[in-house]
Amino acid sequence: MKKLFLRYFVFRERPWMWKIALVLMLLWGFAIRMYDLTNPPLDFAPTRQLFSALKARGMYYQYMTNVPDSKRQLAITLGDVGTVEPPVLETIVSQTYRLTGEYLWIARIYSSLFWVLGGLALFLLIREFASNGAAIIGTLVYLFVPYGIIASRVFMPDPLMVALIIFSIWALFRWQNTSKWRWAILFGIFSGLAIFVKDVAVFMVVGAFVGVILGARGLKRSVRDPQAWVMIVLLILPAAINTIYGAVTGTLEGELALRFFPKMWLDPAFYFSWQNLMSSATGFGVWTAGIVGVFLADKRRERPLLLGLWIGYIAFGFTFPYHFTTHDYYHLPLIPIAALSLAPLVKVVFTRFFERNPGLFPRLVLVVLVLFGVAVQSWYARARMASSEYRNEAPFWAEIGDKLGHSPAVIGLTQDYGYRLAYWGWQGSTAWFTSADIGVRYLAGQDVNVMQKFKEDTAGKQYFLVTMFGELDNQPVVKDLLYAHYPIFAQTDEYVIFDLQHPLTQP
Amino acid sequence: MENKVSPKLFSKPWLMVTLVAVLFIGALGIRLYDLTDLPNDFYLVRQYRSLLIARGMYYAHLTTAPEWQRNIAVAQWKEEGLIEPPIMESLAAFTYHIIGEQIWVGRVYASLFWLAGGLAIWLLAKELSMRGGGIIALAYFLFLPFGVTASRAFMPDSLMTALIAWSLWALYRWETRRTWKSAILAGILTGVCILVKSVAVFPLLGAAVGLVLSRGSLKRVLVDKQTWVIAGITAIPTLVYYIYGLFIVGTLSGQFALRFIPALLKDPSFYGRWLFIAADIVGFAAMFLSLAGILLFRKNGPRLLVVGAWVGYIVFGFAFPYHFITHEYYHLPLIPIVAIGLIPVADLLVQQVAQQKGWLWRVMFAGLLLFGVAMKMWEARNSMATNQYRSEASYWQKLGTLIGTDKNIIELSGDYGSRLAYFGWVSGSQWSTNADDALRALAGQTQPDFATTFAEQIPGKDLFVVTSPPEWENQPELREYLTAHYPLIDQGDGYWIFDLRSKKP
Repeated sequence: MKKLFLRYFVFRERPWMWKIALVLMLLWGFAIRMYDLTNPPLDFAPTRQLFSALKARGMYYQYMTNVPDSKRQLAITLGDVGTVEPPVLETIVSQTYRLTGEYLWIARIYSSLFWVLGGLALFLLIREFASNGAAIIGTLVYLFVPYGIIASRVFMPDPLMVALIIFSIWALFRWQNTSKWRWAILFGIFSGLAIFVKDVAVFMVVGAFVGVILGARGLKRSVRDPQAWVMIVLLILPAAINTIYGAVTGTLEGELALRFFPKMWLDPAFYFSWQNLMSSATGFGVWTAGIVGVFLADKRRERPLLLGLWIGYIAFGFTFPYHFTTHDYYHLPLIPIAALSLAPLVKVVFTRFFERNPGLFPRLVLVVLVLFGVAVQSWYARARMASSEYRNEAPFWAEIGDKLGHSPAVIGLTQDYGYRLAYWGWQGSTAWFTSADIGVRYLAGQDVNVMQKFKEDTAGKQYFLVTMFGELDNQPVVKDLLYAHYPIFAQTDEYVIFDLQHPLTQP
Repeated sequence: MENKVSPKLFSKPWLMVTLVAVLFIGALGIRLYDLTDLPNDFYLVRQYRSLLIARGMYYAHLTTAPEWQRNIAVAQWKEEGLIEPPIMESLAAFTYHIIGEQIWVGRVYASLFWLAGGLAIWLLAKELSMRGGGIIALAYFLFLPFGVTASRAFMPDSLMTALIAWSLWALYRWETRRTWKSAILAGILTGVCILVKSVAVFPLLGAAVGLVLSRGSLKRVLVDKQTWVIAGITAIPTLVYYIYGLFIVGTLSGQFALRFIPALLKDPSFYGRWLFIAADIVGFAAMFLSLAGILLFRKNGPRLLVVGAWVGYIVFGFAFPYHFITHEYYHLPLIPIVAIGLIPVADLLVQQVAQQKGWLWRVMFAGLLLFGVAMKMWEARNSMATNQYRSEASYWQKLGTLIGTDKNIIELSGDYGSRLAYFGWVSGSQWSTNADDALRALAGQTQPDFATTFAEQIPGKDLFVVTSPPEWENQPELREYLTAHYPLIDQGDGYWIFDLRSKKP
């Protein structure tokens, strides 16, 4: 009876079992990301998230007819924060606002959805790559590494970019194995979209593509293959159009400034910080096991794709060394790369496991162990989300905005370059340099004359707002200037506003 | 023998020996980095306790020291209650007699013991015929960042962890050989380990029970003379020590107070914190792989040995719930357990890599291993380099001089007065910290009111010395009372001294 139960029911590779497992994983992956949904998005890269929030609100208010014109204009002005990437997510969110009203958490739902859909593509990819068991483990890693849970529910283009990278890799692998036009075109579309959403996706998709062309298909054969050329054209097209448009309109200016610092390559600390952020993203064990997976991968079928992805990720790091060691979300693509690279390793371990454990009990133990792992990671992420509470931010900034009057020219040493003030306080401001801003300019070989900069930046401004007192302490020259020469317009324990229009003495 | 397939990757003996040697040299090197810094980076109260004991032992026979200093050193040693047999402290004191008193001697011994524990992990892998996996497990054991920090501490835990690894090796070796010699060796190592720190009994008893149960027949176990001999040899040293501590000198009884707090077991957050602390220490991926690795052992012997050790560790947590979520070093026994669980997984991977054609992949794999080790070393080095405590010694010395070694003091401190005692040569009774009060409350003890406590503790004291600004801030009742009723005779950076001999009118 037990044998029959084992043979015909439990652990037999029935498609419906894997489908149920997949659906449950995706649903749980989505559900954990909905935890504490309405908390303001300040737990992760708040500057970047508020950048998108302001942009989306500006877009939304363009269509609003039932608000005072001054407010609409202010929203549009505050939403004009510049262009980093095409505002794909902001457009989707602003259009949703038109149906639901403005809720910051809508972006969180979209990003989570994109990430979880990426999990679907990853599952299908690993299933073909290795085995069903490896697909389950790889997808679980992708969906439940705590950093990934937090970073994939953000109002930023990165979750969508990562999801599109996975879809493109899946299509690429299908193309590698089938040589069908359908997969060639799908790769072109997905990879083109990924690069369009955020151009740094180019490293991973081009890396994977080159890997497959050189390692699996052969260069000679590929050069003569029209499918390969169509893939290249589709890959390039959206980003090329966007770049030409940006160059013509001038909206892309400055995007490449202060990014490329080759002298960092010579500093051992750069590599250590890089490794540290990789470990933060996936855990040291996961990414090292992923690299071991590359060693175990099939030489012709699997390894070229994996090597291409890893080399692309490494090239990404060398191109943006400063951001790679200061912006942890630059490492988000590592999560699916590591999860995919684990597949050959998991396959080997599972094969050995099933050889040595034909009975029911060890398999149940394995299932419990996996569920336990998922539960721990989910709980860990939940604890992190629960520990950060930002609901008190909105009234704080609204109070400052009211105090400032929403319209005058303000310069500020405030959180997130004044974006919190702009979003909740409806008050625009020029951001005064933080010490980190000064540091990065020194790193780029630029000189910063603080007195001169202060004179230039405060010209025509009515108020100087300070909410980052630690930063002010780090800039004693500015602190002395403000306290010695300008009267305080308003202050509490949490902010101080200097009146620049009525100096006590001339600085 | 566990596995008959010898992995090709490390098939050349010289390559294997070189790799193992490189790992041990690196492990010793990183532990000796910043050797002379004060041991404040890891549970300083526990480390200064050992320093005070070792110094007292040393001064007791140091005829060249001034008498007042010798008296204080010995008194400070005797004031530290008996917890574990002072093995590390005796070794350090013995070494002081040769090279003079150096604060880093305990650190060197602890580091060497940990390295010896690594050797046991390696030998166990060899016993299992999983040398390739043994290399990875050894690297994990030697370079786990928490392990690097904890294994430099002047505490018995490093020696205990090493002896846990040696005992597991000896127990498994006995199970495979079944000779009297191997049985006696297993008994001695296990017994010494439990003597060094009694809590080692949990994982070792669990492992031993798992191992004997793997034979399948309980009857066979019960009639096996070797099993009983091992149990006897294991128990004797600890029994003798406890009889001595409880009934002869009587100072060991206090060790059991405020340890078992069953209320915590009903609190779900206790389990969450336990899990997070354990996962943070050993690494979540390593823990998961190690647990999966149990199912990859071919035979039941090693499987149940590791399962038993895990069960023992869990029972340990239930027995000491408060310490398990507040004292990270209580989780140290988990490190060798996880390392052993990693052996079969790592061995499988090494075998698979070894099957790759061409030398490039093998070299790259070895490179990856060394890269991982280098990264972990760098991480540990950065942590040590950024935390510098040397300047503290002169602070406590000056404070000690200011107070005077002849004064009878009561102290509100954040370290139970250990640094003032060690560097300043001034000891006193301790006023309860908030954490102490919270622990007593958790244990269901009722607190006497402030006036009663103060009245009980003050008689005979000359000075009330506060050396912890956070505690001073958090005890308003004490602060107001002292300020209102006693003259503040000195105040400086992080300290307040009140004269208890002249109450304000």
